[in-house]
This record gives sequence, C-alpha cells and structure tokens, in this order.
Amino acid sequence: MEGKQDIWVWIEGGTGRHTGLELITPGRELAGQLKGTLTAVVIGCLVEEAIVEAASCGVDKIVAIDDQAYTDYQADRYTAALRVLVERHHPSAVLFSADLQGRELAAALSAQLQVGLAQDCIAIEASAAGNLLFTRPISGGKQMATQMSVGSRPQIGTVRPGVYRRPVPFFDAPPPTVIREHVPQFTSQLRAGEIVRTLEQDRVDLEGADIIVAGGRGLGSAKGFELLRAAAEALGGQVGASRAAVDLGWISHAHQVGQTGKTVAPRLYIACGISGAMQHLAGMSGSDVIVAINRDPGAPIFQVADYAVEGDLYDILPPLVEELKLRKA
Amino acid sequence: MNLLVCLKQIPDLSAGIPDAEVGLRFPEEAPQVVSTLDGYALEGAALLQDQDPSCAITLLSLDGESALRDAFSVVGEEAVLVRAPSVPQPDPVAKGMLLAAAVRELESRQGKPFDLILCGQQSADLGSGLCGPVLACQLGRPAVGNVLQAHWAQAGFRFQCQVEGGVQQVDVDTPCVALYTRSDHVLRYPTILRRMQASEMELPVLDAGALLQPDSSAYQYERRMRTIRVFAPRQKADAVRIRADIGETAALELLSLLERAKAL
Repeated sequence: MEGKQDIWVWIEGGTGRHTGLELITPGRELAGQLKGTLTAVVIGCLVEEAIVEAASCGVDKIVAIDDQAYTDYQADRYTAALRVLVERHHPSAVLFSADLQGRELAAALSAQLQVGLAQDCIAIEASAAGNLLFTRPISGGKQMATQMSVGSRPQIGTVRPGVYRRPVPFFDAPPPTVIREHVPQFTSQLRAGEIVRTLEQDRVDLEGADIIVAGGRGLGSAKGFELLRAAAEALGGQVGASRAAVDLGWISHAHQVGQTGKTVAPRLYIACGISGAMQHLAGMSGSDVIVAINRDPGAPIFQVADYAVEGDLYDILPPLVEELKLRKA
Repeated sequence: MNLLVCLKQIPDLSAGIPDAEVGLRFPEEAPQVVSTLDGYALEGAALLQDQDPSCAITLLSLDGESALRDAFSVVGEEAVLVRAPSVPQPDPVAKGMLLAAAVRELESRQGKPFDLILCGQQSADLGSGLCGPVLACQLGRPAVGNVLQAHWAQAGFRFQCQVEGGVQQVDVDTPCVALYTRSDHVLRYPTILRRMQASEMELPVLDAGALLQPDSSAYQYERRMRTIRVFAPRQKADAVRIRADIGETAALELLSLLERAKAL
C-alpha cells in the first residue's frame, strides 16, 4: 500500500468506561510497522476525559466530536457521524472493541461504507504488502480464520475484550494533535427510553474481569453459586456460568459465558462442574489459564484446560476458599 | 402487520469432525440447521403473531432450502428461497445486497413494505454480523440491534434491547429492521402438521442476482474482507492432572501450581 496509513481506534467517549483504550496497544505496533500514524476517535458529550486518557497512552492524533447531541449513544446517529469523519480523513483502518456498542457500530459503519468487517479478532498483524491480517475464531471457536481486505478501505475490525491490555499511561507522552470536528446534524430514527439497570447481583463485567469462576450443571443446584461467589470474592474475580446453569434458572443470563453469552479472555478461568460443550468453549477458550474441576475424567473441558482437577468440586472449593481467605488475612 | 424473517442455513457445528489442520471438517451429508440467533428472530416473529393473529410472516433465505423448511414447520405463511448464481461465493455485504434485492421484489409484488424485517444479529458459523445491517442500509430503514423482544405499538414497534448494564426500550416507526440476540424466548417446537406441510411444499425461488444492477458493488466481493486461511486453533499441551482423593490436598496443590504459573 502506498501513502501514509492512519490507523484509527474507537474510544468510547461516555460513561467513564472509555473502552477501546486497550486497542492503542496493537494500534501503536501496527502504525509503527506500516510507518503510519495512530489516531484515537471519540464521539460524545464532554469527552475531555477520554481525550486526556487517549493522549496519555501515546496516540499521534485525536479526532473528536464533542456535542450535546451525542450525550446518549444512538447507533444510527453515531454511525452517521463516524461515517462523515471517515470520509473526511480516510483512515486505512478503524478498530473497535468487540463489546456491544463496538460490534454494533463497526457493523453499521461497514454496511454504510460497503466494506468488509472482521469481528471478534484475537490478533491483528500487518502483511508485507501493508494490509492488515485479522485473525478470529469461527465455527464456535473450533476453527480460526485469517481475513484480509485487499482493495476496500477502511479495513474495519473489532477486537475481543481482554486480548490486549491498556497501555500504561506515560505523562511525558508527546502531545497529540487534537482535531475537534463538527458534523451535520443527523436525526435519529431510534427513540431510546430509560435503561432498566440489571440488579446489583447481576451487574457483572465478565469481559473486563481478570479472574472468572464459572459454574455449570455439575453444581447440582442454584445454591452452588453461593460457593462460587465466595471463591470469586476471595480471588477478586467475577462469577460466570454455562448456558445449562442459566437455562436451569440458577443464575441470570448476565453471567453466561459462551456462544450466546459473553466471550471472555481473563487471566484465569476456573470452570466448576462444566462439561465443556463447544458453545461454552467458544466463549472462554481465549483465557490465559484454564482450570477445570469436574468429577468426570472424560469431560471435554479437560481438553482445553491447563489444570484438570478430577474430583468433587464441593470437596475442593471450600478448602480452596478458606486457604485464600487465610492468605489474604 | 406484515413480517419478514431472514434465515441463514449453516452446517450443524456439533456434527463437525475435529481436524488437526483446519479445526473442523464437515462431511457432505452433515445436517443443516437454522443459525442460532436467526432462531431467536423467528421466535420473535412468532411472539408478534401471538399478539396479533392477523399478522403474516414470510420467511426468506439465501440458498437455505433446508432451513426454510425447518423454520416453516414452526411458523410462517410463506417461504421464499433466494438464489444468486451470478454471484458465486458472496461475502456478507453481497449477501445483504442480494437479500435487499429480494425484499424489494417481494414488496413490489405485494404492493407494500414489510412492517418489520427480523434476523439474527450474527450467524453462528462466520459471525460477521454484517448481513443484517447491510440489508437495512440498502433498504434505507433503521436497524435496531441487540433485540431481545419486540411489541407492536401503534405506528411502530417497541423493542427491548440489551445494552451494557441493562435493558433499554427503543421505539421505532415502521418499516424497520430488528437484529436479534439471545434472550429467554427460545424457538418453539414445530408441529407435526406444519412439518408435513413444510416437507411437501413447493418453495418459490427468486433469482436475486438478476435483480441487481450490472455495476452493483455486490459483484466486488473479492476486493472486500475475505478469508485467506482457515486453520485449527492452537492446541494446548496436555493438562496438568490433579486427582482429588482428598479435597484439601488437591486444593493446596492447585493453589501452589497457579502461584508458580503466576496465574493468581
């Protein structure tokens, strides 16, 4: 590819979450390999905090829309604005975090620009010819695919949360060029109402969790999740669940890990009483370290585990939790 | 109320045979199924019909004859099979364009647009999540994503949508497109009578390729994102096995191993 390549990373501007900052890590590397630039793009209202965070992580440029009209996320309005920015600045690639908003926005933008999209990537590299190579799981995680866009631009991809870590901010980072943009007003056709928040016990951030303790049918009852909550608390982690446990009504869908739940990539995943159905593995096989505790020595989960504990989880977890509490104290 | 459900036919992933090179191989006779989230869209349409029995449901699929028949055995008044021999191996953008061409043709024949088009947010096999948004964009209709449930509300629809931290209500006027995600509303069972009807019915076939303009970008799929390699995921070395004859011993051994691996 000729000409300087500008890699864009989408940073969520609102709610203080600022997801997407972790994409500065691969973005920096790709921009370096391609001898291009790295740009953070932010849309929202009162986005200074996001701008400062992106600047401290070492981007070359920040393109920002800061307008009251973008206080609340609306897919069509955000897509229209982002499209204007892309058509003005011609980035060679736009990367999003593969969370709910990122996946929706990436797909809507790709659809409008009629370019392809690589969803839920676990690796992005630059080819010798200057194209991006996106590697992502398909077929429920049983296959991996490398995808590339030869002709159409921008190249758009979403990246699985947890694959890259947020860069450590450095306060002597060279100040980026900040471009504050204004775009024509777009009237959204979506009339969004109040968000009904999930209950406190269901407010779980599995995608951002470093440690997940998950339970399946092998727990035997909903009561088993009390033990898992104790274990998760002792480890500083979150509670996950297989679809079987959710379908049995033992825990809410907010905790479900798998193809029709959340896709996670924590540092440590402890699967308790989970057999390892393909659909569940698709959601957690990207974890750094997997521990499986199961009575069945032939459970499929043992094929992806790093540590396979064959036994009754009710014999193993309580002393594990006690030991962790002792060490904490 | 006039609904259209778009369905993708995929191989039953559980029928795939593990393969060291490409991860999974499907025998030629591998069973075909409706993609998971399209199943939720189908149930969404059935629930709307429960609310308003006068509602008509049309099913549509690109090359998915088996999926159409399976879906029709559950619900629907009409099923249309879309083919596009002039666009071999279309990418998701091309598929969305072909489906949009088919929808325009059907709407032209019936003299009115579909009030709501329902499909899954993404397919269970390739999962680009692009086909539905392209369909909506090509038809110039708003798309509502992460839909859990829909209700008819006078001039439009009221959707319950999954968002970070909860569920949000989104109202949209017709016509519009709903992209379904997983919810508690699993697809109902087929009936024996409908299964018989579905297996015997003659499916009308629509050549969507013939409906495209010659310079349509649907034909430019080779320039867009395409798969250049499929391979098996990296296999882990055999797990370290701990036999928990005594729970406490096993727990301590596990903790020790995790600490040495710096996993804690």
